[in-house]
Amino acid sequence: MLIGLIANPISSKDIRRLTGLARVVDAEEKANLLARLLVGLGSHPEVTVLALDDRAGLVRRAVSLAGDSAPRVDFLPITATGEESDTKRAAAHLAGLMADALVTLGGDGTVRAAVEGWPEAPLVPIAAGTNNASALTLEPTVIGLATVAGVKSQDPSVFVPTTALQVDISTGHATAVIDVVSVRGRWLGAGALWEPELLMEAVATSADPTAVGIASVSAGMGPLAPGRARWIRFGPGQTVKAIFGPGLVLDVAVAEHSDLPIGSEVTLDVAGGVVALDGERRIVTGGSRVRVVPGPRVLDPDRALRVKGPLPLARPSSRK
Amino acid sequence: MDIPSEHLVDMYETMVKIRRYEERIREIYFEDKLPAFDIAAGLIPGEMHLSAGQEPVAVGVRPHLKAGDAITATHRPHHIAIAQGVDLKRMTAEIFGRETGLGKGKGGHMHLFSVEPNFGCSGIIAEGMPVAVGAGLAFKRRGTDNVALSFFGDGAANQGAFHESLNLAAIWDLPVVFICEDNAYAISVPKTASTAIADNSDRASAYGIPGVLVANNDPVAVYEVAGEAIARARSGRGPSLIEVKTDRLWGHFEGDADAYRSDEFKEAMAERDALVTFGQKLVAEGVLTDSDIEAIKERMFGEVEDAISFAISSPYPEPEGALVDVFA
Repeated sequence: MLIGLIANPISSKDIRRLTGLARVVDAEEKANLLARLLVGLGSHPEVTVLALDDRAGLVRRAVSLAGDSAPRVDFLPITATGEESDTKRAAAHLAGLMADALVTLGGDGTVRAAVEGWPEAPLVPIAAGTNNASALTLEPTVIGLATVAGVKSQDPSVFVPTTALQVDISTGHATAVIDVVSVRGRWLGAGALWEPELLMEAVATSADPTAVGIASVSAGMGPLAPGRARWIRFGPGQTVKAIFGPGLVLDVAVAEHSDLPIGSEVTLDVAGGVVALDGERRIVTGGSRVRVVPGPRVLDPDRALRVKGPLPLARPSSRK
Repeated sequence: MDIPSEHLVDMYETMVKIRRYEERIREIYFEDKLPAFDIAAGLIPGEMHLSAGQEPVAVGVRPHLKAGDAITATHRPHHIAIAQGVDLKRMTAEIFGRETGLGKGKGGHMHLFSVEPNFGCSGIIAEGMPVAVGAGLAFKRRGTDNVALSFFGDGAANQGAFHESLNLAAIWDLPVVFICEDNAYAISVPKTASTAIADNSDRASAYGIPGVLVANNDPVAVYEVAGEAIARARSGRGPSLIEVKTDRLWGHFEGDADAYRSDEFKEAMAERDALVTFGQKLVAEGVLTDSDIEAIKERMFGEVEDAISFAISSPYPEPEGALVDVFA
């Protein structure tokens, strides 16, 4: 069983620590989350983890913390630069190897970068970001166990289909897993969004009332059927109280909205603005055409752990 | 974020001035020092640490400053001093060791002190951090809304003064913003060989204050983050730590062979030079035209030359004044 692993060392460190109440998930905490994941994955004797050797050494530290409870961990032949492209390249490499699952550690931005590299990935996203609308917030040891159980079951229902967004840019297309937003101001700057008065239009794949960010705004307009996305135009009209970020509850003005099925396309008003993907300003030129497309398949840990009963935690000591 | 055009233009102008200043200091510094490097020879005696490439960290903060704010900087201080508006003529005269200098020619380029604006720097690593905490304490006790900003390098984050300063600022809830200029090397030692963690902004959590990483050397990113941190401090909500991954384009000191950084590393820095990319972006966005850029260069270059002429034409201190104004 081959499990890919990509940890983002710079998630949870942006300006939202100042504009809201988000806090840093520091390197040691991330390494600890990964170590707990490895212990869970190590419950199965045939697991091999193939990981990106991130620039902060998170995975190496996690292997050390997990000790003998870790499965075998090898590293991808990729030199990390500290850029987002590390995640994309690593995911693409793991796609080529047809890994059984891809585990990411980070927030929505990390998931997005991984999906850009491997659009159909069987994904296990562990939350360690600022906004974690697309990520799992369970105990990582449980997620590790569930990943093994899910893959082993070969039950396709364990990895749940999601919806993603494809955005046209000059070099092809970019991807978002939760939202694409046009926002006033022509600078990417610190990336994050924290001023709802600057929002112009959005497409969101989520209306999860337990999530933060645009997904929370979308939730204010009612539930969203699976396989659909929601277009929103911001402006005077309905006022939605949304959890815009950790510790940041704001009133957001919504002028109109409608739901879009997979395969549909919408053109956003981006005049005088830039386009944000999954909560981060990313695109200066283009980005107005957004398609609703099938997204990655994401592990349902609860289903995975119930599909064939509990896993035996004991494993042979000669496993390595 | 909507950023006023005047802020963008001011930031760019200041970047141009800083870069030109460092280029001219570099040229003049080497006059008469070669072929056998003589550190005492020439118009500028002593060591020289130049900040070309690190301009974004300084100019991103500049629009948020107000009269009375205090800044402490490092042994590589010119960009910060220029961005805060320290008198360029008197600063240059100090660097040239002249009587008209900020410290009457006795401090040199690593020891620039100005009362208005309130600026100081030191050759001692992390020395400015507790000083900024002291300034923050004074502001708080006086009931002003001024802030103290402490600029320091990634090497300083391993000094005791770093931890003591963050701890005190946090305990006393002081209006201090700590800004780490991470250029990846402490002299010639790569950060990976000296620092247990990749990002010093992580260390904020140890003191219960916000820590923010600016992962690229972008003046607008610094502008946004510094604006929030300074506003937070000004309104009495306490200290914060900002870490900016920046680029030191040249060696640690002038005369440094810089063999510890690969050609690939240096070429990548030159390729992403923020002065160039920011200027291009301002033109692309219609904030400036090509002719505006040329006019800015002419004006900023002129200010730099005026400062250098002032320094060169100023007298050296008299020998009998060597012990005057010396307190330790």
